[in-house]
Amino acid sequence: VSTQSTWGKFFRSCLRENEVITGQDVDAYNVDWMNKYYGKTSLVVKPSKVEQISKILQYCNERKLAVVPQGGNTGLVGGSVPVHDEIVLSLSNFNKILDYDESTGVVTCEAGVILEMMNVFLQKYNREVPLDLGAKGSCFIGGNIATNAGGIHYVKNGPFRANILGCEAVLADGSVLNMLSQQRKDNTGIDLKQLLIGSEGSLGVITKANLYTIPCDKAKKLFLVRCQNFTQVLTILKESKSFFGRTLSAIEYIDGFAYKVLLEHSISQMKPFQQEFPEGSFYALIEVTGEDEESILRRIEQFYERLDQEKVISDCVFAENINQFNELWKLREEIGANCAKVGLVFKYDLSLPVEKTDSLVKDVRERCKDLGFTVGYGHIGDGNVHINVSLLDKTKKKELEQRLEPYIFDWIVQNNGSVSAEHGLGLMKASLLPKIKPAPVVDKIIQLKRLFDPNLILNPYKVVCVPEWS
Amino acid sequence: MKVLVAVKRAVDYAIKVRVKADKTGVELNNVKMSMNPFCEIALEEAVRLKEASKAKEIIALTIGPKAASETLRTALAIGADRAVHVLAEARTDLVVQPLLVAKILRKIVEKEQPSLVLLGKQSIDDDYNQTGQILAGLLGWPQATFASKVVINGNSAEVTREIDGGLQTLAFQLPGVITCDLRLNEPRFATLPNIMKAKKKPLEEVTLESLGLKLDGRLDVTKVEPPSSRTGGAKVASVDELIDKLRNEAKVL
Repeated sequence: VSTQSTWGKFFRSCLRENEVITGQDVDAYNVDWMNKYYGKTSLVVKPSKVEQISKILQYCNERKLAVVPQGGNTGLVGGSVPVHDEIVLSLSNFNKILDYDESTGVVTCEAGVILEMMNVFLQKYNREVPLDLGAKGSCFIGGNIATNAGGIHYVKNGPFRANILGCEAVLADGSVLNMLSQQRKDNTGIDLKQLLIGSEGSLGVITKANLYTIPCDKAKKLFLVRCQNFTQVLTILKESKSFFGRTLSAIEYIDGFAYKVLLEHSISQMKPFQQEFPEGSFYALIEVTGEDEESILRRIEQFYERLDQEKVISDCVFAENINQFNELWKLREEIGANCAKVGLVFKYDLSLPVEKTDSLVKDVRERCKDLGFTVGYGHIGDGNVHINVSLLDKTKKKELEQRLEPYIFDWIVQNNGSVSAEHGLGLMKASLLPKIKPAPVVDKIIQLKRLFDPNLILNPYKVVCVPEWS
Repeated sequence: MKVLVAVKRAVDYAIKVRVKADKTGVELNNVKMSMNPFCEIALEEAVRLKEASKAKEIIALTIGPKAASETLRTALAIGADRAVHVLAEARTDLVVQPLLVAKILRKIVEKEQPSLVLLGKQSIDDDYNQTGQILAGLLGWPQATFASKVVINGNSAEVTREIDGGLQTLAFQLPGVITCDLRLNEPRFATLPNIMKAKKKPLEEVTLESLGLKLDGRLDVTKVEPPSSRTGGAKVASVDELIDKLRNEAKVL
């Protein structure tokens, strides 16, 4: 007797017809953005009220039915789709912006608001969310909170965590934790919401949030620098930080291999430089803010003159209008998608001593040269590199994976880096927990998981390496 | 061959403009301004002609207030050899109109004697699409508008135009006026070294009086308003209701 039909009946009794999805329509919810992780759920629920989530989780908890909370499904570590047939709890109907306080700049919203839509709303107040990532057109605020999302403006704004003033979450047993607050400063003992931020759906389902917004930049300019080796990239990084200080709003590096993929595969077919020679080149994309464009440009010219004396820059283009500005950013934001055109991508998001970045990329490239095409790029201002290895031969997927893992992770652990700078552990790196944190810490984490979710129904197999799952 | 390219400083076309409360025009305060995209294309074409050794000197020209010199600096960075700034303290989207612009350009053409004048087909703020045509008329020169391809061979020009029926190719002897359309080329990025070198290139300021002209717009912009906001749709329960609404509300039956 299939119990699925009994569950279906229950969910249909507390939700509207179009809020319960079965049959072929669940397919989109079963696969992640990279087409790398495939789940087998046959049921997706899309509640629109907190009381409904509470009822649903209580029901699932009593019957030990596993649940995967899903936001925009743009995660990069397989954390947002089922592993087997876990029920998908989609937050897409939680899409209301509830309140904006003009005097404090605090916005209150439901967890299913898309990041870009939030910024569209905030534009009339000349404010924005202090978070910017390539997935902004699809990712949900709730997911950003659950993953403590990073992004391109981290170097200026710091972690998203600092700007999450409050949130509401539903726990596995259906109880609702109201941790909403519009106060920027609130040191009243243990701050429970900090556990949920970055917990990747393992401790509770985030349903509402209070976010601190920041004023939009008065003016900003973007320029793309080309140089000839990684040492020059490091010099440019160091000089940018010291010269521009807090007006440096983004600095990204792109190695010649990543740039080559862009030249060959990007839809826009853009060639920023009149003559392109990606082999042997390195690139830095730098965004600077200021009072007005003229004054920023003058400072950029001074910066360039200083570096030119040291012969560090081989060429530099910059955006003259909004269209060029967006095109240059797209160059960086679409590296992942364009690598996917070369072959199935093995993605690594690592923190490490910044001076060792390129030697790791080169190591990996050399190690996998017969199986994959390796590129390095990323938030070099935060010591965070993304390494993508595109599979060249579809039949050699397992081989490439074994060549890469645990090699990269062991390297990172040895160099005191992080195996996940911003993407999270998800499914992909859950098993690494004992390797990357000391045993007493891991034990406490598992205890915490059992406290919040004793039946282990939330996002099983991911994030926390509970012994029952291995 | 000497080429004259006119470039206009206009609202950046990615900006969502707002109409001023008094409906006299679009709000330009604190709004990002950039080179008109069709002017960018005209400038890019001129630079390509120079790179192909078909043009020897490119003169970039703009008309407008002090701030418009930014656009000339960009033009010099992209590849113009020198610049002329015709000062006009007035809204270039309202007061400085195609007839005046064409008269100004005629004076400059008489002085500089270029073989080719390259313009954008229209500017995105006033959308007149008249300047190139009026200029050619005033000069008595041939004109090819909406160019999507330009081939210069010695003294003759062959221009492919985008027209409603498809593509039309015209040939004429220089000197002439060409206005440029979207698919002519992809404008390049300006490089920082070139922006810095641009400061050393000659930039000449010229007054309207010295050209024997003044700010006389013959057209009076009486009202500027935004397009009417889209009214929401409605769901009907039956075909009869649909017909009723089409007949009595929308009045299209």
